[in-house]
Amino acid sequence: MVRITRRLLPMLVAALASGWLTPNGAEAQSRAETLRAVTSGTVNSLDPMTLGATPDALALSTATYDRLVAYERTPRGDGTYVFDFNAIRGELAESVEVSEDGLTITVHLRPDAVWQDGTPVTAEDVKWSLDRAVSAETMSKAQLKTGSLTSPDQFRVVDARTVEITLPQVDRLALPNLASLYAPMFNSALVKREAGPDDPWGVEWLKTHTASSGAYAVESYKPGQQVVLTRNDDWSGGELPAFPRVIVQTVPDASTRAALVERGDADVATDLQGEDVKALRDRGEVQVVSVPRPTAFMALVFNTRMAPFDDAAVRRAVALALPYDAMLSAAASGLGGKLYGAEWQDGPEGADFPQALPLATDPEKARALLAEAGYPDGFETTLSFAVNRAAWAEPAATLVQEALGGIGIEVTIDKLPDAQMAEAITEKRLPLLLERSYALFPSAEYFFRIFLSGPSRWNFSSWRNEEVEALLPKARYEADQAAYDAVAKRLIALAAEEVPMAFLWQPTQDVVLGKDIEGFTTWYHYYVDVRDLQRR
Amino acid sequence: MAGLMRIVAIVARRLAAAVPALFGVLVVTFVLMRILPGDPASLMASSPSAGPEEIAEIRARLGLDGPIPEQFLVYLGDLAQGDLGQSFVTGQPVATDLMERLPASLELILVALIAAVAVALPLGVAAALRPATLLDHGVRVVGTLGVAIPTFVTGLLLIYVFYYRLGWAPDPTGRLDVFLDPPPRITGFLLVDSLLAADPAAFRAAAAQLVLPAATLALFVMAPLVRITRAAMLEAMASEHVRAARALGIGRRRVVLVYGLRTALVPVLTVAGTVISTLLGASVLVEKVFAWPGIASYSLDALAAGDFAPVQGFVLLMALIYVVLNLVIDLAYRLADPRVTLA
Repeated sequence: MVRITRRLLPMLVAALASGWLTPNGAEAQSRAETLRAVTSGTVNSLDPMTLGATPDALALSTATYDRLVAYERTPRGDGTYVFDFNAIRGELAESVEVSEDGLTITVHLRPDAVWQDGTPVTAEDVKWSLDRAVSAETMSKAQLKTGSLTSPDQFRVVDARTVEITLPQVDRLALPNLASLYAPMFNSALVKREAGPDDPWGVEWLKTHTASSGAYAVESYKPGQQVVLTRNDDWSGGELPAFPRVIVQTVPDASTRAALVERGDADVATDLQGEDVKALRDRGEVQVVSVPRPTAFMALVFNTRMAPFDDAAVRRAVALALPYDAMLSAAASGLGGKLYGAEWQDGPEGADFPQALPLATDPEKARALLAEAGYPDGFETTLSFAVNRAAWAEPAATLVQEALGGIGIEVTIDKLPDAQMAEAITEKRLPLLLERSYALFPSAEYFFRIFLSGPSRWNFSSWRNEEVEALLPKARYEADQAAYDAVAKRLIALAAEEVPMAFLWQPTQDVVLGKDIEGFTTWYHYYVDVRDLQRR
Repeated sequence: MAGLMRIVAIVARRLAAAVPALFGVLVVTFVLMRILPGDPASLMASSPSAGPEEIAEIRARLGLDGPIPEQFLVYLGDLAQGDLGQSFVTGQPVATDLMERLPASLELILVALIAAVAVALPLGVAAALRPATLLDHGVRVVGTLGVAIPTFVTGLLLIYVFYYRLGWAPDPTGRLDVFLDPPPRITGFLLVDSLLAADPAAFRAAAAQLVLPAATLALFVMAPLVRITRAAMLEAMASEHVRAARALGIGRRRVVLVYGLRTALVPVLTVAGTVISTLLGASVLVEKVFAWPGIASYSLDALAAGDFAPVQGFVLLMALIYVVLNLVIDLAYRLADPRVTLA
């Protein structure tokens, strides 16, 4: 025993000392070639379409999977880019043709497209992936339905590199859905071989494995901690990304994330708090990109099925009593696209939504409207929001409480744990709530379909307007742009008239980047696509 | 030999006696998680087009669609086979997650405990030997400050000073520099594994990552340790056997360390036991601040997401740790004071 210790100890000391003294050159080099992104959430599945997959899982799939098509991006002029909803390019596909009547989409695959295991991408794989999207119990199923993609019969293999997709009717969102994160392409032979007959769509197997052609391969995956990606140098879906290696790491504390980028130890940080973002911008050690998200909104939501908010006059009265500017500055440091205070009266100029509605702070008119509606002395109600919304909802709620108190409405504020809030929203039992969300596509028709009609939980206000219900299918299946715009404008005017929600502002996407990082792109999904980034 | 047999018998009896308590913990957690308001399925159905069917599908997948007693029987059946269920937050089996993360938490807690004891014992002894002096008051003030400041504030302060301002500490995320390859996993304790793999760079990196979080925790639990050491030491030094030892002319060093400190260790051990449980609790926030991949932050995330299985698994594991901990402390009493007998 003694002899062993005597021999071991000097060895140990020598080993430690040598490790201590030699500078680690390899490490320094790999730091420059590695992009390190720190986020608050965790990746819970490598398959972004797993039911219950986290936003971070979806974000990761931007780089680990390919879609058939993708959106182009346009430069903003400051070194960053923004997606272009109207320009679609091929990703796994070389080209895509839409037939004259709009009912057939023909996809031609890239001749050089290979899976990460080296086998060529075939039309069979594409059909299998699309079949999976509309058949297996994944998130794709519900999403692709919004683009009239519902059945495996719609996908036909023409030859080894051509797939034909047929639509039951013209659908403006069919192609956008194929370009979305909800239609990733899988290496079907690999999945079938590895997942086994009990798991025909690889729903379980793909949670912890990838079968993709994506620009990055998963090198290691520690659920809840970090994912390390290596560049796939055979990728043909676009310009080869700049970073050979990417680390996506979960760092729960926001100020730690900020400090990491400021010290240069991390390159990208997301989900930062308003205060931190402001301080970072003031110190100027990093780049802070804050862009209002075009398809997102924050709103005070009325339950239109519950008295007194079943009365449009009451809703309008409340909307007129809100101190919009004060709320924006208190809850979002004044950063955000205003969704109030528009000048138009009869109808909007543009057909996009969310856009500013003609509602502005006017307590006198609010009081008069409330009296007219039969509540001269006001009423009592409860305003709810989820704990994970507290950063902005808490100051906003306090201002709502104060302002509504001024017109006689007594508001009790109720902050609910996330799981409780989700349940209450699904059951539609709250009278008044503060919520935020975003539509996947910047289309007024899509926005109204998701958030302002139907029985789904996303119709927060449970609004049901007969004219909206009648107009929506018309807009969705309308091939003519002018005719579509007319319907969209009517929808927007209806929302301004009936006030199912008092829209507040578009929240910004705040991304903190190291000084030497460029190429950041705002995507429709508002995740950071690491493929875009490079070191200056 | 007979002594060993007796100890084995004691351990076996203690463990058997813990079974009903563990079962109770199991039932209470299980029922509590389910009667708490909130629906994990609604929360998890995150896609913008998620409808009632998707929510129902998730609920069925979580095994939450049957009545509670039925769910409990299914859970017990799984448990008997060592299956703690599946975590929705990480997508992994709970048992895998806990085993993966337990060493991280234990390593942090043990290092913090050793640091706290290593500092608290000498300070407590010194304070007891010179009561009511400047040293005594100074020790008390420092200890009180440590316990008065919430751990996440201490943690953030330490990060701000030693990482952000001075740049002495490595970036405060996780157990190892992200650019280093971890040593092959043998025990899960990085300090041990890196030594076994003779990987000095990894050992150094792991030790450096431990400094700030362990110091945060150690500062938090030092006060009770110092206080109890001081009190027990005062009492021991005033006791008859110490007076006898002094009268016999035994050296002061020996009197203090052998006759004084050894007697004083019994209450210190008791407090160290409760300190470990305090550490387990305090480590939740410390793990969050330092992105430490331990079980405490894991269970907190699960709780927020209404992810039942990990919370149940965590509570069960904690209960087990407490049982073992109490047993170890009882056995340690015997080493410190042979007069103690175990029932």
